[in-house]
Amino acid sequence: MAETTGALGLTAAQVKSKKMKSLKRFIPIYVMALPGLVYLFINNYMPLPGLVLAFKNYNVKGGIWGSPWAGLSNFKYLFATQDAFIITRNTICYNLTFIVINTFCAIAVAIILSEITSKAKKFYQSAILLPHLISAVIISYLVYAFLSTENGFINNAILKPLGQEFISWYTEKKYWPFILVIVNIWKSVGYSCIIYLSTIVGFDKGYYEAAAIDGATKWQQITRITIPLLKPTIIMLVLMSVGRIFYSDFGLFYQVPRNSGALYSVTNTIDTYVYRGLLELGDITMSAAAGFYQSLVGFVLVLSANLFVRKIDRDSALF
Amino acid sequence: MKKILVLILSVVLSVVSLAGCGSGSSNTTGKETDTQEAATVAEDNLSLAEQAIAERKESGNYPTIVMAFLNWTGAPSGTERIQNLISAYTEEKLGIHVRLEILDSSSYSQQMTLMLASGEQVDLFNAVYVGYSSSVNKGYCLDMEENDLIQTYGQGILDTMNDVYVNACRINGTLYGVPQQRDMAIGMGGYVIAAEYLDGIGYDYASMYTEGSEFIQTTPEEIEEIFEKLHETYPNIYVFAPQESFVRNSVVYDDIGGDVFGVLMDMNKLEVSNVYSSEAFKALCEKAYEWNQAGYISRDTLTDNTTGAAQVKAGTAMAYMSALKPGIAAQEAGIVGRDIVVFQTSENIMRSGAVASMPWCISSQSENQTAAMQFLELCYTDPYLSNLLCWGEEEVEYVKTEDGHITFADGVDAQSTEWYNNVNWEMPNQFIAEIWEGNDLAIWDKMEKFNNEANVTKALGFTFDNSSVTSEYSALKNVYDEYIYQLIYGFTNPETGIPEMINKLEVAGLQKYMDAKQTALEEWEVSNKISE
Repeated sequence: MAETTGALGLTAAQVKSKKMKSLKRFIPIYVMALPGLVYLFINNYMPLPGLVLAFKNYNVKGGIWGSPWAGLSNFKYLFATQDAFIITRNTICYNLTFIVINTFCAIAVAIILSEITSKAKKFYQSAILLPHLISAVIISYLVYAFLSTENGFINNAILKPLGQEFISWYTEKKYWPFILVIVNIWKSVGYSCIIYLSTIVGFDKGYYEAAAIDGATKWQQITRITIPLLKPTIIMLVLMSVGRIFYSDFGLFYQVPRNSGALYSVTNTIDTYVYRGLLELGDITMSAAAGFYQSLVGFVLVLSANLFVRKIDRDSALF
Repeated sequence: MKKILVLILSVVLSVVSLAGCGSGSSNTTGKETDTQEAATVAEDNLSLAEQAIAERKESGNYPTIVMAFLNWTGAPSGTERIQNLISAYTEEKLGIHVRLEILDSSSYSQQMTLMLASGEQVDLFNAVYVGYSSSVNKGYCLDMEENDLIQTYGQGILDTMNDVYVNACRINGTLYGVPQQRDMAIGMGGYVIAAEYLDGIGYDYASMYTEGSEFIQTTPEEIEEIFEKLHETYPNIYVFAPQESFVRNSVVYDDIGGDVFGVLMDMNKLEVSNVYSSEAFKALCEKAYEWNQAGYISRDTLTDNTTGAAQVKAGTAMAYMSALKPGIAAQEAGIVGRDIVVFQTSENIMRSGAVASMPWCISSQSENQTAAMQFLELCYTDPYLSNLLCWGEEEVEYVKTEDGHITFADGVDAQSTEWYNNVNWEMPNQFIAEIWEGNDLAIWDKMEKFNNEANVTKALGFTFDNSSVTSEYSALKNVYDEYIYQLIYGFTNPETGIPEMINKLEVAGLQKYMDAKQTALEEWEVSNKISE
C-alpha cells in the first residue's frame, strides 16, 4: 500500500525518469533477447508476405508478386471431394483426443517424477523423453516390428501362443484410432511433461509443509495444491495446442500406418491428404493455400478459446 | 523505437535494391547477347558457331556452364576431378568451363525447382523428376529454336537424334528440350525368375531362348504354371513380389500426360478411357487375388517397400516383374546377384511420355545460352566427353579390355570408384560411350532396333497441362493410393474392390479430368497434324 500511494504522489517528470530507469535496467535483458527476436522476425514474420502465394497462379517469370491472381481457386481442392469431411474430422478428433489424453498423462508423469527423490529420477526422465527424439520413420519401423503380419511381435509372440488367428493389422481399420493414440502418447508425453515438471519444482515447498502438518495425505496435496497451482500452465499449454488443432503430426499419420490404403478413412488427415495430392503436382500455391487455411482456422480457434477462458477466469487468459 | 524502424527500413531497402541490381544486370546481359546474335545472323551458320567460340577464346573470359542432373547417391567423390577434366577439354574446344551440379535423386526435384525459381545459376538441366511440361509451364525452359539457337549452335544434336524423338519433345509446337539416346520403348509382361528355383522344379529354360535374344518369349499361362510348380516345391519362399509397376508392366495402355487417370487403351486411337474399368485391369487384379489366396504373395507386401529384386536377392521371393529392354538380363542379374531367367509374355510398346520424360533443357534465365547449347551439342557428338560423363576417367575409373569392352581399373570396384553414377540413361548420348564388360557389344544397335520396332502410341509426345484440373487430380491421387495397392497385390476381392474404386474415382471428378485430357488431346492432334 505504501508503494502505491508513493507512486501517486510522483510528478510527471519523476514518472518519466522512473520509466527510463527501469528501461535502462532491462537493457541487458533486451540485448539477451535480441538474437531470439531477430530469429523470430526472420523466421516467422518475414515469410508472411509469402501468404499471398495462396491466392496466386504462380509462375517463375512473374515471381511471387508478378504472377496473376487466382482468387480462391487454390483452396477448392481442400473442400471439393467427399474426403474433405473425413480429413477434417480425423484431424480435429485426433487432436482433441491427443490434447485431453496427453495433458492428463503429462501432468500425471510430471507429478510422479516430482515425487521421486532417488538418483534414478534423471534416468526415468531421459527414458520417457527419448521417444520424442526418435524420428517418425524409425518409430514407424518400431511399430512395424510389433504389428507386421508375418514377423510381428504381437502376431507371433502373443496371438500365436494363445492359439489366435493372425491379425492383418495394416488392413484393419478398427484398431488404428487406438494404435495412433498410444503411439502418440508414448512419443510425446516425455516432452510435454518437462514444462509441468519444471513448474512443479518451482512451487513453494511451504505449502506442502503446512499441508503435511495439517495432516493432508499425498493425494490431497496433489489435488488441492499441485493441480490448482498448475492451472495457469495447463491453460496456456492447452491454448497453444488448440492453435495447432488443424495441423497433424505428419510422421505419425503417414509413416506409422505405412501409407496403407485400407486405413485411409481413419488415418488420412489434412496434412497427409495434401501431401499425397500434391507430391506429384508440385504445386506450391495449393500447398500455400492449405497452410493458410490451417493457420487461419488455428488463429481463430486460439482467439475464441482465449476469449472463453477470459470470460471464466480473467487471470488465466493468455492475452 | 524510431531507431529500430530506421534500421529495419534500411535493411529492407538494401535487400530490395540488391535484388533490383541482380535482376537489372541479368536483363542487360540478356539483351546484349540478343543484339549480338541478331547482328551476326546474316552470316553463314557454321561460321557463326565457330565465331562464338573464337570470340570467347579471344576475350580470355571463359564463361562457366552449370550442368545439373541427378544420380542415386548425390555427387560422387570424383566430381571435381571429372569436372576439371571436362573443363580442360571444353576450354580448348569451346572456350567454356563447366561445373557439374549432381544432386541426389530424392531431393533433385525440390532442389532444382528452388534453384530455377530463385534464379541461381543453372544453364543446362535434365527435366527428370522436375517434370518437363510443368517446367515449361513455369517458364524455366528456353525455347531452343528462338533465333534458330539449336540450328545454329546445336545442329549436331539434331543430326544425332531421330526427328521423331526430337519432335516428341515439342510442347504446343515449341521445342523446349531435347531427348537423349536411350531405351524409349519398354518390353511388357517381363517376369524375372531366379534360375536356381527353375532348376529346382526341373524347368528346361536353356533350350527356350531364341537365337540372339536374352528373353524367353512365353505366355501368361506358362508363367502361371511355373508359379504353381514353384510354390509346390518351395512352399516356404514367396513366389512373386509384386510392385506398384505391376499394372504398368502388364497392361498395354498409354498413360498419356504422365498419369493414370484417363489413358489410351487402344494406342492407335486418340480416345481417353478409364483403365480401371477395363477388362485387362480386372483380369490382373483377379490373378493377383488368386495368387495372394494361394499364398504366392507375402502378407506384408502392402507395408513392405522392399523392391522385388531385393527380395529375390534376399531369398524371400522367387520372381518379380520388370520393364524389359536390351541389356536388362545383365542389369537385373547384377542387382539380384543370382543367375536369373527373363521371360516376356507381351509385346514391346512405346508410350507417349517415353521420349519427353527427361529431356535436356536450357534454363530460360541462362546468361550464356549460346555456350550452353554448344556444350550440349558436344555432349551428343563427342565420345571423349560422353565417356567422361558416363564412366569417368580412363585408367583411373576404367580400363579397356582386350575384347573392346571396358571394366574397372586395377584396385577399383563398385564401392571404391570415385565416379560410378549409374545414370547413363540420363546422359545426352551413352550410345557413343564405351560398353561395360558383360554387355553385348552390339547393345546400342539392338537398342535402336528395339525402339524402332516397338508398337508406338499415336499420342507420342503429347503432354498434358493439368493446371486447370489440379483439385480433381489431388482428389484422384488420394483415391488411387487408397485402393490400388490392395487390389494389385491381391488383398481385396476385385469383385467388390474395383467397383468401389471406380465409384470413388468418379465422385472425385474422374470424368472431368478425362474430358480435360480428351480436349487437350484433340487440340494437340490438330496442332501437330497427326491425322495427316
